[in-house]
Amino acid sequence: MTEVAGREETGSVVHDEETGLQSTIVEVRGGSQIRFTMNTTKVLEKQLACQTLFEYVDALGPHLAAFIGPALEKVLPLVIFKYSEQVRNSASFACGKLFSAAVEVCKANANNQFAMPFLWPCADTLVKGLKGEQHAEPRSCMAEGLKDLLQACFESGGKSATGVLQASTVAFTGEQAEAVATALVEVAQASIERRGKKMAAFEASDELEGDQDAERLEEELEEEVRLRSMEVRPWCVPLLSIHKS
Amino acid sequence: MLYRPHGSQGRAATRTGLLQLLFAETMPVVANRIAHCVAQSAAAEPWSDLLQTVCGAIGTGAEQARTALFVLEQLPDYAPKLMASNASNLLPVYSGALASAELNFRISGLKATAAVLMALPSDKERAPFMPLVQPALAALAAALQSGHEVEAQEVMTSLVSVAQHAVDFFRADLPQVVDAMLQVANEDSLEFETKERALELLVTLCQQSPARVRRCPNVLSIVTVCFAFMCRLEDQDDGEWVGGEYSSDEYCDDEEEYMAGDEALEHTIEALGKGLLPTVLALIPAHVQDPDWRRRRAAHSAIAAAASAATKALKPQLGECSRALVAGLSDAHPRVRFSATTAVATLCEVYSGEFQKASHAQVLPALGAIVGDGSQCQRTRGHAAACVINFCNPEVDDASEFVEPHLDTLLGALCNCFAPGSPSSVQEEALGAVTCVAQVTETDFTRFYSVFMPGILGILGTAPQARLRGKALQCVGIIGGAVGLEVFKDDAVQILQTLMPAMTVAPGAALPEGYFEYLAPACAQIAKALKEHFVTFLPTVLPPLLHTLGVEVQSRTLVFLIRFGWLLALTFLSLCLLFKKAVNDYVIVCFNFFRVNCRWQPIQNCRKFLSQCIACDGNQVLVPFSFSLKYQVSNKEKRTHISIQSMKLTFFFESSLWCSRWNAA
Repeated sequence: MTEVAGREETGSVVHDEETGLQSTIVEVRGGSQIRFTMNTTKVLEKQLACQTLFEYVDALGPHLAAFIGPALEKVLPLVIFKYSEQVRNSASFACGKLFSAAVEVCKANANNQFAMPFLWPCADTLVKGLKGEQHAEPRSCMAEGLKDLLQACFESGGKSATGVLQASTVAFTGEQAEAVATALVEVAQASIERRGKKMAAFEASDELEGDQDAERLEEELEEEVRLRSMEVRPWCVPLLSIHKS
Repeated sequence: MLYRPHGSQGRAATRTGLLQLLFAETMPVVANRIAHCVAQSAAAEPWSDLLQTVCGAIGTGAEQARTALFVLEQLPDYAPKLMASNASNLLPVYSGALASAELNFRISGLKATAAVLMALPSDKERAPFMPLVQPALAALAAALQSGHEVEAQEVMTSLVSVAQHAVDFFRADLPQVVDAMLQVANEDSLEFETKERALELLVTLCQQSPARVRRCPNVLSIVTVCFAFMCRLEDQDDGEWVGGEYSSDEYCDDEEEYMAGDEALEHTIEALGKGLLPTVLALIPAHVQDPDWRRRRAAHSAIAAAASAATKALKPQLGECSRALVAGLSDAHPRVRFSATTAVATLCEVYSGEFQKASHAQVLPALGAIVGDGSQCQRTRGHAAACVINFCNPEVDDASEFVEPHLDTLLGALCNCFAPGSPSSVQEEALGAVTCVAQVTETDFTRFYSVFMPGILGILGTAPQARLRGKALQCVGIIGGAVGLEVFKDDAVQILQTLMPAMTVAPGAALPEGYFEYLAPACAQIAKALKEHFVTFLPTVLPPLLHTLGVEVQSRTLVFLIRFGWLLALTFLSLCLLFKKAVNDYVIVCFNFFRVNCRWQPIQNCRKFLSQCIACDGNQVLVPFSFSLKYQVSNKEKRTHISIQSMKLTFFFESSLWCSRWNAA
């Protein structure tokens, strides 16, 4: 909704708790101001619901078995929810946890049939999200969700009496594993490129000094280092071990 | 595009007409509107004689000169390529304007210069403009000397924009600019807004060009300027503050100058790094000892700013800083205790674990003394309880090591907060603090379970404030998780049985107040404590969550072409929305707004609204005398109505319409 606004401070956000409407003033060409209003309640509720679901899965794991399928059905589209970064973050975490819970159900029943139908939809959605994501934080969350998923697959065979990990029972086909690996390599390459660009810009800058402003560069690079450490290290061993072909 | 319906001759004639209108107009507001139309037209297609005509108008009269400079200020935004390719030719025009004897003319010239600098793509192209820094500073000095502070603020606002986008413009004269801004920011006789603008320019220069600013001889004086800002407080009567209510949602230390100085100091340290730290640290001891409470408060804020902005560099001084803050926690003035508490919370966050381990023996008893003392002002008390949450952060490794030695004192103090008459906002923070202590100490909290749980259950059952009840519920869940199933199970089942009616919500029905804020997270916490014993409650708690996750936030696009009549259009729109399934994503509502000659107030308002939208976006074709709004909306079902949630709004307009509108006016 829009309405004519009197002269107000540009960028200030007003939230009406009763209606859930949030509005802000923006400056438009010609020196005029317009108030933009949108209802953010539904989006915020989705985020909170995702977080709460994560807590339930974290607390109850396989006890949630009857709800894992319906929950994944709702959560997966939110991994690539276009209206909110925070919803994507929470959904990515919840997705990894839900799949891990499904694998726990399999382990308890010594049968991989429960988790297998969820494996590819979850992995595919997280990989698609990871490849298309423009923002650093959701990218990290998606990588973490995928890491949880791969870790669960890796450990799906359980341990022997001597504590040795058994062969995975919940696993990708060779084709799926290749698709995931290729996508992850692309994401890692993109991350290296972003890092290189940031370093080159820093080195070329007249306005920044190597010794004094090094922390600033370090901070900027931190996100990429975190992303790659989450993507590359945890997945390479499990991925090699968990596809069947 | 804009003039397509008229053909090339028609376009030329309209452009000529626009320029005639522009320079004949005597009302600046109207002339500015036409200037936007001119700039927009220049963006659409080449306009070979535009710049020549506009520059030529500068010498024809004061009004025309103002209008011409306004056009030059707008053109870079609409037609950056046109301006970039002509910038060097226009340089004498900008220099001339800045050298004028007329202050307004100089300011208009500066705004136009700032606009073109931001349109130029590289340092090389901006280099010829560098000699204009001195005239810009002279314009600022002239504005200040003649008491035109609003104009001086405009000058500095323009310079801030240039500093953000093209800082190399200042390269040759950076020391002079820094000195000038230091002088303005330090001048007590000036308005706050003027000084703040100067400080903003200084901070922006530090952020955009730290290496060069470090080489400016007087750069360290920024620190004293920031301290001066933090120490100014016109209203000496702090009785109102002391008697005020505590709220966790609003920060109480929010005077404009104090906040401006505090933020500027943090940003400056962050930008310039460790080189600035010795100057900051050198000022702290004297300020901490100062009889004036505002100076003591400034010292605490400076510690917090330095910790946030130069975390590594401040580390060796952490012990000294802690001692200063511990002394501040027992300061005679409540506002100093408040600022010391804020700084302690910052250090807990920044040096998470390390600070707590090194200072718990001094800090926790001092915080406990504030929290437990009912005679303290409630703002300080609530803030101290909130700080306990930061200090006893359950995510810190081995937090129990530094919390357990103080368990009796701390919990005794927190218990006092639940005494009758304690404000609910303080009780909320105290509940949060008890929650953290329980999480950290886990089974050690068991011996306090029987002390706290009945009181918290009492709040849950009787407190009138939903928010306080929600906090109590969260606290119960976390305490339950900490003490374990054996101790908690009976209470948990009883609480859940009480809660379940509120948690039983039919899919799509309205959720009770605080459902996602408190109820659902608290149930999840209780689930953590009960594990498999919680499973029986899942069919009640999960369906509303899953329903919420699946609610569609689908965007729809509506196009309004206003052509028929105002009320008819609204009626049609309402029908479309009510029967949304019967219409496509694109709904067209038309009426001829400008043929309605009505004095009815809603229509007058609508007219005003449209006139304000004049220069939003001219890149679309519209039928003459029509106006359209295109918005994406999403559905929200609320009672029986469907309300529009605008996700994005784009305006289209026909420029000739505005000419007609102004002619009619």
